[in-house]
This record gives sequence, structure tokens and C-alpha cells, in this order.
Amino acid sequence: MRVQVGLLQRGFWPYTVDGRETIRLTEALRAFQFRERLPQSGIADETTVAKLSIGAGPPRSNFS
Amino acid sequence: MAIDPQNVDALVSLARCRVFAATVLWLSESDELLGQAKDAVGRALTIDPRNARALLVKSLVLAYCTEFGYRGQIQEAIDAAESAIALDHNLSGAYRWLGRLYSKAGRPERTAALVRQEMRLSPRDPDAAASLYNIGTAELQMRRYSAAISTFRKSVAENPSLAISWANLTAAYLAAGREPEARDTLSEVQKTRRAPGTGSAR
Repeated sequence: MRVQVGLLQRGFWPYTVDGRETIRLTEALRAFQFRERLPQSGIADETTVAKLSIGAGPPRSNFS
Repeated sequence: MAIDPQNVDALVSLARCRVFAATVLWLSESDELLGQAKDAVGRALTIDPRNARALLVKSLVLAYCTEFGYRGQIQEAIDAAESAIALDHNLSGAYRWLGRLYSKAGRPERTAALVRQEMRLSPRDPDAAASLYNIGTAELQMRRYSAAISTFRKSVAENPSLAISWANLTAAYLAAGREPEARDTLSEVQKTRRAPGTGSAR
């Protein structure tokens, strides 16, 4: 659920935060990893979670 | 449609029902339903290109169709919803939807004003809980956790079976570091999720 919140705050999660690990979460993680120039595994690994820095700093928009 | 295949109102309603079935009822053939909705609304707009309701449904289809990526065609959906409002300033649902779209697009600061406009235009809307969900989600995105918690609480007070608001309330508690409350609300998510038609995760 924390990962989805992090993705939501960065404009990568256009859905309800439901905590479910679905193909959409994998796609969202891949899109975020692409943006951050990380390997696009679709997995919430340590580096990805650190980049999401849930709860820290101002949110960043990625679409405008 | 059998009596009058050119009936724009019928085409738009048909498309809207199919979007609802695909996104709220979560029918398994959702891609097919969205494709049918796209065809119906396309036909409606060919007959009447300035039909605001048709543009609103087109916006829904664009946002939910994952043909071009998991996020849908959000900018195109925003354009269609804005065109709908330009054609009909009283189309209350279009304001709420446009607010949700800005939230989906990563511009949550625009959401609340649009949703509040919808609430002003339609003060007796039985789906006010969904409007509050949209505002709460934008607040969660902007890390205004106290505000988000308060808004989601109002939403579930309006409609205790709205699973999406319970889910995002849980997320707001979690993000705010209030884990015991997050655990409590999670049980409500699980309860409401079992009931059909209690809210789309989209």
C-alpha cells in the first residue's frame, strides 16, 4: 500500500490505493523506474522504494 | 436503438452503461465493453459533434481504455471533458470527472475547485460520497494527510459501503503514520470489497 501511495503522489498511480499487487502495479512501477532511469523490473526493490521516498518532501507531478 | 439507430441520447446512454459495466461492475469483458462504448459514442459524435454528454462519455472512454498504456489517454480525456463543460456549463458530472482526471494526471491542486463546483451545481447528488472521494484523493496526493483523512471520513459517513473511500482512508492513515487506525479501516475495506458495485478502483 505504501508503494501505491508513493506512486500516487508522483502521478504514476491513477487508481484507488488498494494494496493489491496486480499487473497495473507492475506497469506503474515500470513507468516510474523508466522516469527515474532505473532498471525497469516492475518490482518494488530497495532502490525504487528509496526513490519513492514515501512521506518525504513535496509531491512531484510528472504529466504537466 | 432498434427503433431509431440515429438517436444520439440512446447512443450516449448505451456507451455510458458500458463504461459503467466495465469500470464499476468490473465485468470480465471490460476491454470489449469499452470498445463497444467507444463505437457508440463515436457514432453519437458523428451525428452531433457538439453534444456535451457525448463528449463527457468520450472522456471516460479515453481515460479507461488502456490500449495506449495503463494510465489511459489522460490528456485527451481532459480535453474532451473541458469541451463538454464549454458546451454545457451546467453539466455537473463533467466537473467532478474533470477534477478526478487532473488528479489522475498528477495535477491534484486543480481537483477540489472542480469537484466543489459540481457539488454546488448538484447539491442533492446521491453520489456525494464519490465527490468527497475525489477531493480526498487529491489531498492524499498533495500529502495533506489530516485533510485527506477528514474528507474520506465524510465520504464514508455519506456512503459506508463505498470501498474506494475506505481504501484511500486506510492509505491516508498509513501515510500519516497512524498505523493502528489504518489497520482498523482495512477491515472495512475487506468488508465492503465483498459487496458488488461498491466502488471502482479506477
